[in-house]
Amino acid sequence: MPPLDVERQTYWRSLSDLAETEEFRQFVENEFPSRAEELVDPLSRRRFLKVMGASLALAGLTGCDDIYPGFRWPKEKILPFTARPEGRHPGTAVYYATSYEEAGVAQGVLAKSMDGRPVKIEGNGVHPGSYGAATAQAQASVLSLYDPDRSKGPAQLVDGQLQDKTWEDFLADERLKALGEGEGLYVLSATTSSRVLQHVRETRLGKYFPKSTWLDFDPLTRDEEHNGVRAAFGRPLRPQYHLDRARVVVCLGDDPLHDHPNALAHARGFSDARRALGSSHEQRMNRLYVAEGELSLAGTQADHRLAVAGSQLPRLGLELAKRLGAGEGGVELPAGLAAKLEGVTLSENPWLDAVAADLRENLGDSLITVGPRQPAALHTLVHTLNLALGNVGGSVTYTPAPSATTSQEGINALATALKGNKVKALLILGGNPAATAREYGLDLGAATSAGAFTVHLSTMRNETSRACAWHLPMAHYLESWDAVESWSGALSLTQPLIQPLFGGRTQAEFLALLSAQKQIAKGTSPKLAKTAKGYELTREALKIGGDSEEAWRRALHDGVWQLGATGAEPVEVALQGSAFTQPLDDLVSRAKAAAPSKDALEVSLVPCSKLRDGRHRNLGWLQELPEPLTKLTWDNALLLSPKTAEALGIDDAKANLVKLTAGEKSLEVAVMVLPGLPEFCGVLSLGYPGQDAKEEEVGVVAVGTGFDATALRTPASPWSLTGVTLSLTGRNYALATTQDHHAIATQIGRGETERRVSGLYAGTLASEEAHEASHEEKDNLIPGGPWLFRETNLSDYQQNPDFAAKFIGPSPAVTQLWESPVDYADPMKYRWALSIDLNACTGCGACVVACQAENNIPVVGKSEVARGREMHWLRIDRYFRGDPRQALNKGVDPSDLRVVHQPVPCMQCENAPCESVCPVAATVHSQEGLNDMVYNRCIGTRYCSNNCPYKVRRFNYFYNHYGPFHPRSKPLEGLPTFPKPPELTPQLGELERMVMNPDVTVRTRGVMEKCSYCVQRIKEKSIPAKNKMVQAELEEEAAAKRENRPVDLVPLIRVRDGEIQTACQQTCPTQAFAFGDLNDPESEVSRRHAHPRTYEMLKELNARPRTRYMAKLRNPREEA
Amino acid sequence: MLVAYGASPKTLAVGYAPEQPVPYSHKLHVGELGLDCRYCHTSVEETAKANIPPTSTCMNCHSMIRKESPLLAPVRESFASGQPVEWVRVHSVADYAYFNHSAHVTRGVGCVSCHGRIDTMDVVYQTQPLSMSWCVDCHRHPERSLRPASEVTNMTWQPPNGQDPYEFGKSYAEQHSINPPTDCSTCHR
Repeated sequence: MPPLDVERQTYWRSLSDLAETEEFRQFVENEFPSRAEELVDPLSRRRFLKVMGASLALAGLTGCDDIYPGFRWPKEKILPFTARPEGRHPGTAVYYATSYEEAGVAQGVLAKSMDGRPVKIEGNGVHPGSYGAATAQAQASVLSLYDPDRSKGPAQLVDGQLQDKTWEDFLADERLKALGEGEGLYVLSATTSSRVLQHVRETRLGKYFPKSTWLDFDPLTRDEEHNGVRAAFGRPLRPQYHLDRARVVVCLGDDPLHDHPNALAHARGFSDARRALGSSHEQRMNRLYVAEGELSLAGTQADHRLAVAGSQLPRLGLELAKRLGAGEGGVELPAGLAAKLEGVTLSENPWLDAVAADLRENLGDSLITVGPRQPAALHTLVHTLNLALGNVGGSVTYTPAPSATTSQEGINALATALKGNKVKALLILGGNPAATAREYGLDLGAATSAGAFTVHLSTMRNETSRACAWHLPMAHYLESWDAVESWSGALSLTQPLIQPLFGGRTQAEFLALLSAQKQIAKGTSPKLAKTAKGYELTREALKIGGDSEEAWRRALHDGVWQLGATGAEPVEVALQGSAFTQPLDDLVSRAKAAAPSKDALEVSLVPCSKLRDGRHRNLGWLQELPEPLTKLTWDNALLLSPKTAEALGIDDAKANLVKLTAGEKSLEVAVMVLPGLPEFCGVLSLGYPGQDAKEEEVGVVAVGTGFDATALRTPASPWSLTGVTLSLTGRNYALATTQDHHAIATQIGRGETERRVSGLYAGTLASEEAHEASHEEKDNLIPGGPWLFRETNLSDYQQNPDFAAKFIGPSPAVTQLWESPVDYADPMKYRWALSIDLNACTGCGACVVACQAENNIPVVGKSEVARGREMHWLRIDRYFRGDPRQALNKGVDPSDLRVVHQPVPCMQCENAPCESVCPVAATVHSQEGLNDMVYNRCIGTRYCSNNCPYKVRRFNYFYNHYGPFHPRSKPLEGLPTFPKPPELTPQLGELERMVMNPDVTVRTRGVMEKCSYCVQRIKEKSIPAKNKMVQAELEEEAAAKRENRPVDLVPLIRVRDGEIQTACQQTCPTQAFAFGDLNDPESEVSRRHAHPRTYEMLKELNARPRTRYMAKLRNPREEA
Repeated sequence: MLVAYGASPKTLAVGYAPEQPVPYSHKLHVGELGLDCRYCHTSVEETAKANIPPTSTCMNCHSMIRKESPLLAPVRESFASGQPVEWVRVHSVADYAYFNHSAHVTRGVGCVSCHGRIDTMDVVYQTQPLSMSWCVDCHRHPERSLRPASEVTNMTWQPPNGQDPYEFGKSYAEQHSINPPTDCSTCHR
């Protein structure tokens, strides 16, 4: 070692100024040049060479006895706590139980904090609304905390522009003092179940502004359901579905597994009732019937699906009721209903016959659900039928509804007040009604210019903010104290993980602040001003329910107020006589609706499965998440069946842009063809800001995405348009869909695979003939094989339990070219593996977002997605099933189409094809069977990806982590640059960087990456386990020495099964994933891998994948 | 050649001794006063990071000893204000390498193996390159750096009875099945 020279070492650091300026430091201090995008243009390249030249010259000059500055890591500071809380260790994750609320329904989550930064959301296992799972939206909610477009502070509208102001400026506004008793003061609150807001409303608002009017509004509330149940039972009730208790589930225009606030619980209950994990002969599976005008994820799970226009569902409901009551052994229907049904004529409908027969055979053991966008009268009928079938109290119970009014009533009241000039002041607490309730004709801008004191509290400065006199920043839920309720009514706590980043306040804090101001204005003690903090308000609100310090702390730990409580007590229900008058008359008249035709299309307007009503539109993770069925990213589109598109003359490949006209409203929108939809029925999702949106209103990510379907809505029929006409524009709009990306089963992918295993396919189904005889289903599988996805019917499975293995003959006789250097069977080692149960997967995509959050996977933007460069480590392949003619929907009933979902992560092959072709050994095997990817060795040949039969490798073509200011390459023609033209940002902003998981390397340009089985999570558990093992050995040794006896063998301490959960596994609502150690025969994954339904994808390649699939089962009704 | 040598961690990193906001002397505290490493670096046996002590740890003693020392002013200030002392990191591996202290300390790799004779340093400096080849050398031949786990913080440990350290390490590794993996994912994630 050279002699130490402290002086020179310190000086050495400052030498970096010598060579060059900021650019230089950027270059030399970082491992990879962070501005390499500049190299693209020759000017920058010259500068780069100059800089580089300078550094080399310096190195030469200084020689060996001096130390050249630069190639050391950047100078880092370490900032320890001044007083560290007990049990907190730097760099170690801490989880806090909190609640994520959407449209007034809470989902229990665990938020992971790394050194004070929330970085990941998981489900809360003890919460009755989440069962340990989390939705894609909850997963992405951590990204919204660090959204650079979040409002950074209060702002006032001056001359049509928002000007930055402070909270003090707002409180000094004279109009605040003029609020008086609250005459003409309207509060429009985004629907929330917050007990704290309720408390503040009662104790503060009611006291200081007694004449104010409170209204609730959220576009996603289930108004029709609310009205329908109220009509049936005479009071506002909330139906609680228990899908695990139903043997037969019938969904009318409904997707309870995804499109429901309680979807996580539903999905879990549903999959529990058809898990089929035990031995084949004892399987019992529920049966799902779905009739829908869209293609929903529940529809893809259905055992019998009926594609039918939404407008025909009322008739379907009535016919079902009549079939249930008809003939011998019919269900006893209420007299009022039976009388009305007399006029109903039955049409031929085998689907309905099967449903009715099944329901009659499973009295008290079934469930009928109806979608939130179906008319209230259909809800009334269905709840009546559930009661008649004996399902109430079993698969469906009722709890008191938290609100007696609906959103529609709320927004209508406001619209009326605005029109009548009754609004003196308007406080909009959250939401974005200017965009999402446009059809109600709320002219906030006009009210503001007329002098109304309009205030918008919101996390974003959106359309509503810009129409109001004041915008105030709202706190994110990860910055807030609150107490909210799940769908079932379980009280859940929300606690902050971080101080409000931009001084935002919660709705309750804001109201408390206003009330406190009022008190100060009156000249009384300003004591209340001190209590305007979320924590005190929450404690105050919960005190009413008997709050003890212990109960509070326990609830804070668990996230739910009472552990084990499932929610509100169910109430007894009794049918109202009036349920058979007005609602049934309405239904009968609706049943006469004409079927849609070429000149009168029917278009369903549905909340986007990713962005919902648009509230998540600025989240790149959700924008880039392929929509589960269309696999569309960054856009919505008008979905039409192939036959309809053909009939209308739409060439969706060349000129997909069409003009829709509904009444007086029209919209230009791109068409995407989706098989499985009923004829002349379109589906268009809401939530996209459209092509004309302004960046300052919608955010840099959302701008220019999709088509604004809200423009077509009317208050009378917000969810469905009938009599729609369509005209062609002759123009094309480029859509970025990933449905053909990373294909294994397409012609190209299959051809390649066949070439490699040439001769293997032909005749390799050794048992083919025997198999065929017992297995008619085979022909219906993905045509031609290689049978990536395998499924059969329950009855087939029972006769033929190892059907999954029979899809391919015996594996080719192969000789290993070399001995594996790793003894995988060594019981001292772990042998990690993953099982994916295709029978459980519903294709929701939560795992994809969870993986993205966990593994710092970048968002690449639409233009790159269109080039097939999306970076998701885990993709969900969606296959349509049916013969090609059927899939194209030409003359064949779209109801017969089947859709399957297959999540594809890295298979972690034992004979990994990627490894043998890497020239630099950048991908090699670990002793635990992981196919390690070494980013730093990778030189970007991409040979590995070429050679991967499963197409799970992803290449960084750019510095993808530069966030929204992504330096784009040249955009594809016709595609907008994402999201705006290239701008030079040296690295991610301070804020955006905070979402990164510090346990995972952030990859750079030119590097291959792929699923690692969440190796950071493996290490997080396996290192401490080994530590414990070593410590136990040492203790035993010491004890033996002390007691003068031979050392005993210490029992093996290993990671317990289930202790390590991959990100995808943890968030999965249906527990489709199981990860664990194959060397532990008792582990879940060992049991699953040994299960007869398990198969290896592309087994014929002898790659020996550790990730294996369990074949899917369906349970169609066997006709007697 | 010159450039290669100039850029090697052996040249660049070894000897790095940045100036710290408080001239804390390990020589005084460890070498002369005999503080155990774990008094301050509390989590070294349990977690990946050994951790830099919070200000309150300093104040355990310095609220009574050398209360007025001007050198300790930043510590007192930090304790009063709640703002952390901004220490400068000395030992640093690349962000894509995930070193875990607990995995090494519990297996009997002494602090001195990587950090050198901290007990003789007035200003902490880096004594080892902390480069990948240096890490891998030890993972391939752990016997060179092993000692009883109870002696990891001992700066001057020698094997008992004049045993050769290498021989000791060899038998220790065998006895406790210490086979450090050289898988890529051992350190890189």
